Amino acid sequence: MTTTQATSTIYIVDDDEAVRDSLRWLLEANGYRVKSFSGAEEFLQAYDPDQVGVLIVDVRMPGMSGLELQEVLIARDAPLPIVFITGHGDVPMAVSTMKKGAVDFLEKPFNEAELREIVARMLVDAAERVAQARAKRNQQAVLSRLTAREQQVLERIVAGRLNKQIAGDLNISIKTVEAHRANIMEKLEVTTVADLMKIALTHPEGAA
Amino acid sequence: MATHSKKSLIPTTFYDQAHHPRRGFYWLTPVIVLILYLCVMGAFIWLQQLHNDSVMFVTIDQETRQQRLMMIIVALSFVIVLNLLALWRYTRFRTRAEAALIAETGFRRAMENSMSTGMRVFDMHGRIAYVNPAFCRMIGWNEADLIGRTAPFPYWIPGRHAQHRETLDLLLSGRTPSSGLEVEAQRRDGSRFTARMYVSPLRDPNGEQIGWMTSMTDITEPKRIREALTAAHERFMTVLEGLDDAISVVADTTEGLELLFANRTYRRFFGAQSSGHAELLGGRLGRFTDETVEIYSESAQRWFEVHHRILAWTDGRRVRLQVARDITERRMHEEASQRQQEKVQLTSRLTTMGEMASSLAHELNQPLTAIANYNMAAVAMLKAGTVSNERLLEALEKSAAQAERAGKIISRIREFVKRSEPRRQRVSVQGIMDNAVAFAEIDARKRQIEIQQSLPSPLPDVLADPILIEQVLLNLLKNGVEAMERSEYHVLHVNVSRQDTMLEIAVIDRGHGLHNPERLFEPFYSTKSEGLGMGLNICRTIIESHHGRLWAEENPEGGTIFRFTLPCAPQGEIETKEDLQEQSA
Repeated sequence: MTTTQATSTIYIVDDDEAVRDSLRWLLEANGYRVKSFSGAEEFLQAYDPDQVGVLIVDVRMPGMSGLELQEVLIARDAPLPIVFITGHGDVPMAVSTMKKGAVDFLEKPFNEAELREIVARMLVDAAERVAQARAKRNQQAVLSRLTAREQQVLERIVAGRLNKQIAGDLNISIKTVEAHRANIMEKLEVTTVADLMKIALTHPEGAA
Repeated sequence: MATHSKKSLIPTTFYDQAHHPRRGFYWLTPVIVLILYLCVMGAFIWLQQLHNDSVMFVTIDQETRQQRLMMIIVALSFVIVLNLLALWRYTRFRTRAEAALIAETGFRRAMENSMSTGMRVFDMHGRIAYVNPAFCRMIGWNEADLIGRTAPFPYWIPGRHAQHRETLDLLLSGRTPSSGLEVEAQRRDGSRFTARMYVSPLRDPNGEQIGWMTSMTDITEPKRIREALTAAHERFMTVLEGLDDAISVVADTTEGLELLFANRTYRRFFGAQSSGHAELLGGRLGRFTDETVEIYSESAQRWFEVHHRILAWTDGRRVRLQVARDITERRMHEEASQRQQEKVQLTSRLTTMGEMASSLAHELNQPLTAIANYNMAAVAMLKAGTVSNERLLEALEKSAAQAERAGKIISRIREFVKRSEPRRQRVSVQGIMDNAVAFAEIDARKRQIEIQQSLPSPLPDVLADPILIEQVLLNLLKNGVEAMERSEYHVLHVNVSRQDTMLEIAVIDRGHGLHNPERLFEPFYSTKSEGLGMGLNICRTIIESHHGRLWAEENPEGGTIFRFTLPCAPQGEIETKEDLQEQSA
């Protein structure tokens, strides 16, 4: 827990200065690192997707609202769990935000225990999502390192063709195909065809 | 001929001759002549006998005999001359009679020829015995083609012979109406015409019937005009009868109103009597303007929009035309939409109130959240034991600042409420009562509840904001009416009484009653499924801002009594000092 607290950031976006500042105090008193912003636009400029974090945002704000901010983050595929602050939670809004992947709601005035519990849970989730995103990005980078020929071979392996057929397709010898195959496995740091398939299928654009 | 005047073209000689007084004695002339002749002959024979035989007493000589013979011859000649004279007279009379007859016949013929009525005679067997030129002209056949013909006649319309024969049989049986028959016939050229035919028996001079005389007039054109008129009238009547407006025309008579015309819609509502017209006049007899009035008819149980107008009737009389349109549906819609409107207004007022409350809640939530956060942060820091005094102080100061912010919000609300304080003025209770009761009666009538007022006299004025008090009273009346909806009593009482310097108004219902009436005044407490529970609470606030009281108690007879008091306006003064101060504030 302490490790996540130390390496992670809580982002607070609220137009009301008192609420924003007091929440910062409360979270800092509980040992979190906090960055607060008075508006959604300001936050988006400062946000680093590599950082493990949780966004606490007010639903009602002048300019970009909390819900609009959620849309933007989803579009950017940001690994950032969102906690909405509401004055009075209304059901249709809650349902729609939940469906889009928002994870929780906090009602004003806050209950400290509840706040801590939610934040902690969100952070675990966030760490996981950041790790996933990072792995994904790595594999993507590796895939892009393959030569043109290697990519062609990979494409056909994924399509389920045998070495002999690939050799025929590309007009090269079976031995060469086997050599490319070994290179691909090495570069992607996998030992089985199953793992290879997994990576190739999660990044179709990289394999293509 | 000699006697008729030159100026007159119509011969009268025949008539004159027929009535000649001497006509009856013409037989006398030959009789006298015969007797004379017989006498003379007798004397002659006697004289002859004297010659042959001797006379017993006197001897007659030849001389005397000669003399007597002469006398006889003279007498005989005289008789002959007399006879000739008589014969001459007679012949002259005959000649004159003949001339008169010719003239008369010519006249009759001319009359027949120039007559436009077609004359025709049937004998007793239905044979045509005579037709006049007008008849021939009318049907286009010659006299020669018709005389002596029996049915079917050439002028019968082909294919309708049965009908013609029927008419002929009717004619020959002598049962034709004296008003004549309408018959149709076909001309020689195939065109048809309609005629009116009159039939009369034809009798010889002895009074014995020898046939039937018919006279026919071509009525094709009059009939066409009449039919066109009838069609126009029918169209007009169809339109009038088909109208949804009740149209009636009446004339003033000494016995009241006489109904001259009423269309179907009128008859459907009021029957064929003038009472409906009188009812819709609404007592405005004699006063006619172009304005439209809306009148409720008790007998038809409907509302009408009525127009009146004075008309000159077909017989020249001045009559009243009334056009009444049934507007019951429209009025119902209007009333419904008015109620809807009121409901919408009330709802919107409540929505505004709700929005205000919601925005206030949000507004207050901000500082409260901040205060809670700062405090929880301070607690957390204290618990962790990592806190410096300065930091703790900062948190507490921030918390205090937020508490102040909350206070400011509350005083802002106060300010807002103060601005809508009642504007008290001297008003009559009667006016307030009338307005509120009129509004409440819309609802009450629907539930068949009567609102009965009892007011003391004289009624003092009160110091109040009339609009607010009307709202309070209306609210209480509506509650009462709703409470009595399923009650067996149908009268809601409103009593006004003077209590020292205050006026008390009590709304007494006999409805379902309440166990704890005082609870009604708690905010958000409601006995109604759709109620917000704010009405009575607001009412009490309004009354208290008028320095009065509003409370509820159980009605010992069942139901609930709501009472509120208002200060009476001081006698003679228009506005009190206090009011002036309030208004200037």
